[in-house]
Amino acid sequence: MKRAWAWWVELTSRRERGTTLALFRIAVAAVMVTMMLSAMRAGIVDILWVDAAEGGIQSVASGFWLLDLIGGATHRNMWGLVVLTLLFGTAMMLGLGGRWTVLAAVWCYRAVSSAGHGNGGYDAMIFNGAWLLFLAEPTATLSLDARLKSGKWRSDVEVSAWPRYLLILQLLIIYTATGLQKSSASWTFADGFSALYWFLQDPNWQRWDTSWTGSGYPLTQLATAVVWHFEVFAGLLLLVYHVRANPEGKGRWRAWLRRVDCRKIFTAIGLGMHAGIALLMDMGPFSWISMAFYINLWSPEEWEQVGSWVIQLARDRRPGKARAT
Amino acid sequence: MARWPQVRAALLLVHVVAVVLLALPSPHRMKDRARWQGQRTQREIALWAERLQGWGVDTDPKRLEAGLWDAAQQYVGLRETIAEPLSPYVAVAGVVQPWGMFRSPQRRPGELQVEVDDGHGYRLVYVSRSPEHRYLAEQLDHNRFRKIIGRAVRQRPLFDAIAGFVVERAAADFPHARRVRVTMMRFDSLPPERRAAGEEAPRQVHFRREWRR
Repeated sequence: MKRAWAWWVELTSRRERGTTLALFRIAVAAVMVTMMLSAMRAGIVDILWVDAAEGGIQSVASGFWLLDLIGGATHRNMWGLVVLTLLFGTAMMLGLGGRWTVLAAVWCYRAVSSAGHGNGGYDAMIFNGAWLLFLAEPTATLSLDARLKSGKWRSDVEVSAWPRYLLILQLLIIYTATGLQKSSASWTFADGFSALYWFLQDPNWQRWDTSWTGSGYPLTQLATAVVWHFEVFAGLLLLVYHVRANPEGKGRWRAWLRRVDCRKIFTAIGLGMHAGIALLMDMGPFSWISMAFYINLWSPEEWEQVGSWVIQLARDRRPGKARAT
Repeated sequence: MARWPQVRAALLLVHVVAVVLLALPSPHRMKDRARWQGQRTQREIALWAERLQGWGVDTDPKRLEAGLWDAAQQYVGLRETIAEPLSPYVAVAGVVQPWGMFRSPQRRPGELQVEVDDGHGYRLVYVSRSPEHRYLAEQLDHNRFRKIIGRAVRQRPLFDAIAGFVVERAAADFPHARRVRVTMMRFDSLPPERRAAGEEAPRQVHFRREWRR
């Protein structure tokens, strides 16, 4: 027990550069801002989020303290919250105001999305991600805060690594819990892995015409089997991280896990799954916020390498450079 | 200050316990007898009973449901007892965990239709996700509105609220309209072989509301 506690204290005391968290902060804020702009553009703010007493289609009983505190889902309150979410969300994306901007953005977003019946699992993912960003040091780099402090957008200042670890854990919990709750026989061999076929028949989710699914049924079965197994066994990625952190030891599996970077396999399947969902089904920002969590699978050093590679590629492709060579 | 790493580790452990525990299936749905009697749940129970019988297990839908109900109520009691002390943290942090996405498919989905009569009989102006009938589609097809339409299949008051909004808008947008009709259609999704043969599922009226000028 003592050894386990010492390991936990050591794990939660680790530090690393803030690049990964900064990228995640930008992605979460972008999803929040896009959600609000999309609601404004579609004209649903007054219809769905404002109480029936002021012209909305339903009575709004929020249950979120901020909305109750300011007097409920009135026209003025809801528009005020939407605009504040946009402002704080933009500041969060730019990295201005540290953790307090993150907290303000997510509380305004929670107040808005708690009104009415139109909220979804993606809202909960945004709350979870933003809460951990609030507890972290989210604007240490790639931010206006860094620019104002040091004159540079980027900073090598180290931040706590545990928020990134908890974000990885959150992603794996979401998948495992979702997978285990898929209790319908249609997700399993018991009903021929038919779940995705049936979902694609529901107009509520369809993005396009899905008449092709009749002849493409085997493809939907394959996708169902992949999705269900991927979600149920997602937690095994923790084992991969464990072996990466403790490479010593013997055994065939350990050797294989040392040799093969399973994060790449996990990411390829996961991003493929979410891209497929985004392509075939209209589920709002679900795929985008899910994919944002994948950022945390990679260390700050790995993202910095990707950044250097992209910058180098852009430089190499500049017209002046092409002429010179 | 030297104690801070220990305190932080303890607080983070509470967070981990909260998110893991609350990710377990939600007790609210499990306690809801009406939900158990819903068409979707009953279909799943019948399907599992049939499969279990096929594998030699002595059961039927009724006995399987009774066994599952008892087990679920024991689980709910245990989960609520353990989760109770964590609720203040969950309320502040918003780390709610409704991770039941796509639990089971709706094999009898709904489809919203809006029709307007300008004096020459009804004509369709909106059908869920239709590329042709797009009146109010920007609102009705928005992902947050579709959530509500999906729930309105099971909740008449929600359907009436949507219909009220559509009728009010249509009365203004179609000044020559004599009547506006909002209908929630339902249909049994067709199996793949019938879909491959080009068959379309016949729609039945589930909820309907009509307005006359």
